[in-house]
Amino acid sequence: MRNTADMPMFLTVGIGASAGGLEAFKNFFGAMPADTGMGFVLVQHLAPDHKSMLAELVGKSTPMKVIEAVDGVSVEANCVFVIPPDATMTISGGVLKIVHPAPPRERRRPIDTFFESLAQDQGDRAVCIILSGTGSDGAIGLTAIKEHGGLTLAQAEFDAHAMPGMPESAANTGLVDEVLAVEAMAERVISHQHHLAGIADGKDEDGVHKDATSQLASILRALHARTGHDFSEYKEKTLVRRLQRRMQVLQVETPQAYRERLRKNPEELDLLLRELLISVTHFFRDPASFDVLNETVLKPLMASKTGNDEVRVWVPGCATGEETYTIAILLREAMDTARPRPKVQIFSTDLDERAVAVARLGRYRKPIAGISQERLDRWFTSDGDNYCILPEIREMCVFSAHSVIKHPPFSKLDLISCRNLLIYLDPPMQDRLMRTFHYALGPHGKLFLGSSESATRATKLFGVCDKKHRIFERRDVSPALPLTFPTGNKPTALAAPAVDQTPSDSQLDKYIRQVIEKQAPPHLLLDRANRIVRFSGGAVGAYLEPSPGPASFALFDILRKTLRPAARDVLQQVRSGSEPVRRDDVPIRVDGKPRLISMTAERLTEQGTESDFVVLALYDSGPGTARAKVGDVSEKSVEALQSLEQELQTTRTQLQSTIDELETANEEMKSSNEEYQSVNEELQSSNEELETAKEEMQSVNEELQTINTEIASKNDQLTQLNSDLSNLLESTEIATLFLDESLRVRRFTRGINEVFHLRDADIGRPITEIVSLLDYRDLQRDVKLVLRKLSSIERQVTLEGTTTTFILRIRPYRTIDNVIDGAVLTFVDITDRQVADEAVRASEAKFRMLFDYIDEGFCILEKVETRTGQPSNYRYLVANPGFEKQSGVVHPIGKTIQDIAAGEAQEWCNIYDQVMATGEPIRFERDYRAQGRFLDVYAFRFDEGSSHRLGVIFRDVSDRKRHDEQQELLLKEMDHRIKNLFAIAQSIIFLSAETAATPKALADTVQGRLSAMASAHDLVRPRRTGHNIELLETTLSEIIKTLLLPHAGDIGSGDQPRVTIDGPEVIVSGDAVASIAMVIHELATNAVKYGALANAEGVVHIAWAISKTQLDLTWSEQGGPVIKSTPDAPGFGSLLAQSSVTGQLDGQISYDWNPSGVVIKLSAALERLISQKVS
Amino acid sequence: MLHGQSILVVEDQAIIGMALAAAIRNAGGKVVGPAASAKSALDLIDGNSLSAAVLDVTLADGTVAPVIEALVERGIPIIIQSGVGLPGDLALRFPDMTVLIKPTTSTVMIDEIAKLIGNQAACAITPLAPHDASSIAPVRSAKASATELR
Repeated sequence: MRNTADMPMFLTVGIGASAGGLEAFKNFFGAMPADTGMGFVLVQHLAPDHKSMLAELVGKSTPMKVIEAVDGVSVEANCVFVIPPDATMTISGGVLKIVHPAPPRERRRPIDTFFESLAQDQGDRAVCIILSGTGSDGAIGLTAIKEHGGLTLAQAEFDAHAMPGMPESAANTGLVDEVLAVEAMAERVISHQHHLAGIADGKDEDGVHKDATSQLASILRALHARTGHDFSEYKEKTLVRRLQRRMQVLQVETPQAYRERLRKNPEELDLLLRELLISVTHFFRDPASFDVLNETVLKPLMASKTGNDEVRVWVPGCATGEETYTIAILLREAMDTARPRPKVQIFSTDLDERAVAVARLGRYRKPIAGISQERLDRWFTSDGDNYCILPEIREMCVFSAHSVIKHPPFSKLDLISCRNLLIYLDPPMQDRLMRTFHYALGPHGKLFLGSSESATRATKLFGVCDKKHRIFERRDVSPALPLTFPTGNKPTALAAPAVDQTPSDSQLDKYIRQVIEKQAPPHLLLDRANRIVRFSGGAVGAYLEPSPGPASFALFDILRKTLRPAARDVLQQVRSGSEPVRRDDVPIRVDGKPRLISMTAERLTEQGTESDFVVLALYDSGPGTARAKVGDVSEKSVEALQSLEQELQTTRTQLQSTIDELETANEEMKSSNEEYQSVNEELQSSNEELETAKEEMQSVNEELQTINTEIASKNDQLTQLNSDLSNLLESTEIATLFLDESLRVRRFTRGINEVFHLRDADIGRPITEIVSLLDYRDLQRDVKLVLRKLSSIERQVTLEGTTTTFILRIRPYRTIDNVIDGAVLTFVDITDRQVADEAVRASEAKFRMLFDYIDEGFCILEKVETRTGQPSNYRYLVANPGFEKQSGVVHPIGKTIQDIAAGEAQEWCNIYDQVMATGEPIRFERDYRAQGRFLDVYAFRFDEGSSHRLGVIFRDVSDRKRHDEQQELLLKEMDHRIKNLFAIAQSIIFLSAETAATPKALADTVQGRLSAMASAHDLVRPRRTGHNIELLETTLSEIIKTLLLPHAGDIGSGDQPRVTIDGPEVIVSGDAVASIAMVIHELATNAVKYGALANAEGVVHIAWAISKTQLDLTWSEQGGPVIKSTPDAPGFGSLLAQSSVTGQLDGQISYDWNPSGVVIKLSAALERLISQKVS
Repeated sequence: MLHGQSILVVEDQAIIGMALAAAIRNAGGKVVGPAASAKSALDLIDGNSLSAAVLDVTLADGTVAPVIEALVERGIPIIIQSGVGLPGDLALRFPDMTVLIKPTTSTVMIDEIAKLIGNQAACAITPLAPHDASSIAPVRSAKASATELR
């Protein structure tokens, strides 16, 4: 730090100027001593390509060293540094930095740039001064200086009005500490220096920092700059106390340190503001006072109002709203009986926007002190941890951020409740507030103050209603206007400029004038009415001699009497002509000594034309008396005297008439004056009225702004909601269209483009004009139907030429108030669903067809719930048509296995249980005895939805079964026969071998017998007839024909058949066929060897007849070789034949050996011809 | 080989019966029959002293069952000669019956008859009760013996 005990404090003063700056610089330094210990830096707008003479020119007006700044130079005390051309200058650590070139003109703000660096570098040791210049450069830099606690000054044009251009821009920031004439600035800066130096360390006896008070001003300025709230008129002690509390919180020891902190951390100002705004409030604070208020003010107030009236209440300093709501509740309660209810408006204002925001919400944390449970129940709703004020009460109140000091008041109020606000304010501010309140209240308006406040200082304005409870009534006295609502420190300009001001001269002219005035004769400047407008300096006093009476500048009231006639004469002459007039040697007496005076009068010319102003100059011609000597009185002189007297007489007469005229004129002037006065009065009163109207307008404006704030906040909510809604609509991706009642598009989501060619520009157009892609002509009709019936309609619509399908829902659009205001159309794309449905249907149809047409029986069974230990059972859920066909059971659905297969149900159920238990399908064949069928069954667990179900596919295989059995039987029979045949063959061979003479004979015999057996067997070989295989029966004639054919050719046909057969049909089957074949074969063999067929002529007649039980057959041969005798021993063939007939056929055989041919008769039991089948 | 023993032949096929008879005679046996029906077979049983019998199952007048019963009653050993074996009901009743499946050579037949006659004293054939619960097992043994014989 540069300042030590014996050196004045070092300040850096930045001075910014532009056009007209040189003059201002000169004046500034003209008034600035050279040994202040301050450093000065001048920043001027300079042409970049022009060498500046600024330093030299300024140097002429101050003894201090004036240097054009160069980069790196330290700012020294008692030196002036001037910015070089085409450069940007900043300061850092007390050292100037110069950067060339300057930025382009449009971005060149050298003053702002320098001030900002100065503020950073020097903080509260910085002073900035904005002098003459155009534009707004410097205003931003000044803000920085202010923020850092420096002093800010701006040049005044006159009084405290900032000069247009840069000083005005600076002043408009509201951060200029003072607007001063240039000449006064030096003094202000020096006093500021002293002030800073005067802030010493340490505290006073109260424990308050001695310098806290001085810091307070700067802190409050910073606070004002940041928050717009001016606390300078609050009680200093309160402020210092709260300031110190902040300091304690932050552990800051000195007010300077706190100020430093504020500079580094401007948010601290907000916290300080909070601290200053801390207010204690709760519902029904001082209940007794509120009771009295209710009884004496609120109730009578409500009683006096009717439905059309308005009750207006203002609660300034409402904090978080408790006081407001208290009054609102009381008013509402007082309204209970009133019909119709008057409108109540409670304007609640507070500086603290956060508090106002809380008040607007009307939510208070439980528990709420001071308010009765009954009122809580009636006027609040409980919402979790909070109580919410009812909208009914809330709507009576309007909250806004508003300063009772700074902003215009509300008006025509019935009540102002301003509790515990005045105690924070200085008495002058209290007075001003009382005047404000007086203005704001209507006739008989009431004022309700806090318990430690009073209106006694303003007894003229307010009368006491209840002293104890601080209720006052407005007195109807003339308002103490004008009210002033100052902004910042800027005092309101009041004085008007002088009426007849001469043009201001430059300072130089003034000096010159001073010299000239010393040399010039005393003179007076007179106007047309010969009033003195200006006195010269010097000895003009010697010629004046004011008359007693009212002060006057009229020349003839003030000029020495002895000079008056001469002066009148001269003036008359000069006014009648244009030439200056001189009168010499007018005798007067000065201090008792005679002197001679000359006077000249000359009209002033103004731009070539003569003005009404006349200069009357007086010259002292030295001592002496009138030139006319007593001794020189001659005839000529007497003559002259007479003529003079004559002249005097004439003049007197003239004078008299002039005086008369004058008096008349004077009278006229007086009456005019009176008129003017009355007009003035009227104007005054009009002015008052206008003032009042203006105040009212301001109040109304304030109200409007308040309401506007509320509307804005609602608007924000609406915007938010709207945004939410839009997002919701878009995110659903459901094409949605909002139509109004005349089918005009009101809103739509993007998805609607699939259906309609809609653009944003189409909003407001009727939907009927929009090209629709739908194959749907009844839209208009349907929407109208919905609007008429107020019920929704659902349609399935498709896009023209595509398969894209939508579900269209048309619903009436209901506003929140349940008013129908158009229709909402939603289109849900169901194309995919449609396609899927179609596929499902097709698939189902396929399966249905399969189900219906498969030849197999199919059914689904469900296990019936049975008790443990009970036999299980299954119920038929589904069965196809094949079921009935394959099982023979009609209408099985709903029945159980027990129902349709009573005797064998358990066996079926056991199998099914196994399938259910293991999940393994089982295929089996089973006798279904109840229907006499044999079934092939496939059972599987039907795991669809329920595990208690079973699918069964089956087929009736009874026919196949029967067929199989038949086949088996047949196989057995065939086996039997084959084995039998082999046994016969074996026997044939065995026996033939016994009798045959030669192997050839054996072979012939065996061959013949076997082929006979084969032929016979061929007749009864099993045959397939359709599905069945059956054993054929044959007939006797068939057997005979077959066996005789090889020997006899055609039998019973041709011209002369060798063999004839005659007899009824006799059926032969089984083993009997072999026996008969064997017998016929033996007989035929005999006939061929020895009998009728041995030659070419013989014939054989075979005839038979049947009786009831017996077949009788006759074999008679004729025409063969003659039989000589009966054969001596029967041959093997005969034995075999006999054995067969008697044995198997249970008959007899006999031979009659006639010479013409043998006749053989044989019989057989009929029953033996049809053999028993092998069982 | 059969040393004049009387063998009853019951066979409805004449030629088979004749062949069987010839084979028995050739082996030194005496043939009773052949009988083609049960009726004639029963007559022959009554009128002759028999050492053994060879029976066909199907006869001209029906089943051979009455013949078997009569023979078993008399303790005469029996050989059943059949294409398909003894029918189920008879097999149940006479489980230990010797069954030869047709066609059987005469040598085998004669050997079998001789074996039966030789075993007669040691092996008396007794009928089982027709409703014996354990009736299934003897069928197997019957089949087994038939297999052995082959």
